[in-house]
Amino acid sequence: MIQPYASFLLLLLLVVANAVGMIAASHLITRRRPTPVKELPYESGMPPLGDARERFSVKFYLVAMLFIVFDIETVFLFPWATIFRDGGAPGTGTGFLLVEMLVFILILAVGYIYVWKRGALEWD
Amino acid sequence: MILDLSSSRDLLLALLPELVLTAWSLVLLLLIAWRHRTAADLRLAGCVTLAALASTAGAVWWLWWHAARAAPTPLAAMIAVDDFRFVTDWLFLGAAALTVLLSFNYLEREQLLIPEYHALIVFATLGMMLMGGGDDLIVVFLGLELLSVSVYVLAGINRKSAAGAEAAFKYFLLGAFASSFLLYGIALVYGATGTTGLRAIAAQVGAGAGGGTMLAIGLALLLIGFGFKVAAVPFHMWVPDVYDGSPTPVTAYMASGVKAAAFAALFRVLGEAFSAVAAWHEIVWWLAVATMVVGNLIALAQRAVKRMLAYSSVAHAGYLLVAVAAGPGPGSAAFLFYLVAYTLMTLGAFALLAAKGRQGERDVLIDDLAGLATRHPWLAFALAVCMLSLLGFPGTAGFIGKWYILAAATSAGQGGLAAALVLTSVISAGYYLPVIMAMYMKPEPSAEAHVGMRLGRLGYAVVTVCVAGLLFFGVRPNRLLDLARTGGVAGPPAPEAIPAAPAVSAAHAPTAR
Repeated sequence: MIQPYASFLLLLLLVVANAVGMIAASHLITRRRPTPVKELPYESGMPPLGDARERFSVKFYLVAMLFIVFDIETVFLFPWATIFRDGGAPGTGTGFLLVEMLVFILILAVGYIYVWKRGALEWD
Repeated sequence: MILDLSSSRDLLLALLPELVLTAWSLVLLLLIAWRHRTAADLRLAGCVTLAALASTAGAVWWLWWHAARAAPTPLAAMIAVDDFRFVTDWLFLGAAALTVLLSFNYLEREQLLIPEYHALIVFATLGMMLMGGGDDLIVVFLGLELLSVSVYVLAGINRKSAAGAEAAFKYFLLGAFASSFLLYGIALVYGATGTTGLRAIAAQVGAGAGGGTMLAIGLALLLIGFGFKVAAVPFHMWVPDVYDGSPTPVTAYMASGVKAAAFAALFRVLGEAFSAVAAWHEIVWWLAVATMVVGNLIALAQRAVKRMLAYSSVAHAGYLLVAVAAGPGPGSAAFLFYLVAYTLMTLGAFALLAAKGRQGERDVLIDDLAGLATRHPWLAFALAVCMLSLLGFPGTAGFIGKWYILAAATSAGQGGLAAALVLTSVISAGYYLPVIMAMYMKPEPSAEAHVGMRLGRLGYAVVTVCVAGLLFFGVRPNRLLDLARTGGVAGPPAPEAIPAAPAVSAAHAPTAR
């Protein structure tokens, strides 16, 4: 039982050893000559714009959450579409599959209407 | 009526109650999308919720009346079709309906004009029904998440209250923690047996394929996850703060419905899937003893009624764990009976507490109830009945429930547990009786002490149903016991003869209005 996972364990050990080794080597080998520019956090080569601990509007989280909900819809639609093309599981047929997906989309649509009417999509 | 769950028509029939409630929840959500401003909208949402719960109870009744059973199929079923599911469904629907009735007054008094409150109750009830009926660990987990996420929001529904925010946050963090334990446990059980279906796991365990460390660790993680949800000691730390900070009707719902759902799922999972694994009996034994002793001892030290009731609900989790430890055979009837009695007495006590708490005021101390009997004799009487039933006083449903748990424990050879139950019940008199003494024996501190204690007509209805149910089942428990007996998990198929129709009338009376 352990055998097939041994290579994963080995990979894990190698990855950790590699990361630790690189950091340790750069600490041991380099000579530190700090300048203010070198001490800055790296932001794609640009001078940093501000503090990282910035406060986001709570709307941001709401929109992010809504995005995830409707994103999952697509994630479900893809495997459904491939199964639907192959004619579904034996015995059920595609009609059942179609109705199932329509019910799923109906429930999502109700959620969408609710979110819209309740004003969660307005940013002000 | 035998349902072949592998055909989609019969599967839909077996899921009828859940489908009815889902359809209602969509209707309710659409209604709220347009009507969410005034108190009238809030009442409308509440009435729609009651209609939803009543029609779902009707669907459950329809399945029960036709003695629906699942045909044995080679494929693992996702949902159980047995009397245990029907009885627990009625219990959840009844608890939800009583909570909604209780909330009409409370929400308006606290200026919480949020009709989503009712929608969340419907979602949570749907999750409970999946937990009580799920025949697959994944369905149980889905139900648990649906329930938990809704109740996290309900706990913090009062956004102006700091205590409410604390309660919601604590409940969310610890609940998510517990859910992850449960999920890891499911994963390990799946790794050991290759399935998540409860009956299929039992078959694998019976065949000896699933023995070993992986199954044991998986089972232990499952027990930890459920232990958090039912608030068994050592996983009870969140209970007092969460119960104390949440709005009182939500607390009533958490202490009755949510706890009952977690227990129903625990009972089914242990009884159906793991009855051949000996390890859990000992774990549940220790959990039960620790929960009874610690819950009762800490409750003794509480002065605020809400916190006292929170620890008392921990202690009652211990009593229910005794029934779980007695095993599905003897423990099943006692378990279901006690669950119904516990729900009624908890809801009644919290309903009266909600009436006593004035706007914004959190802590009702036991001494604040002094002299209630002279000012509001009926309310004092109702609270006294609830306290006596929680204590297990003869003549109340709490006594019969404890009696049957004791009988189940002794017949299962768990004499030690039975002794612990009796001894800790004696301790519990030390905090239930002072409430009654304060109400009946202490003078009213001032003429204004109980001004503003208003229950409202619906609140009176809730309390009346609870008290009447407690007294009725305390004197005539037979019908409910018959129902509970046929509701055993994985027992022999129930006989075709159906008891008289009004057998459960008092248990779900409010949903039938």
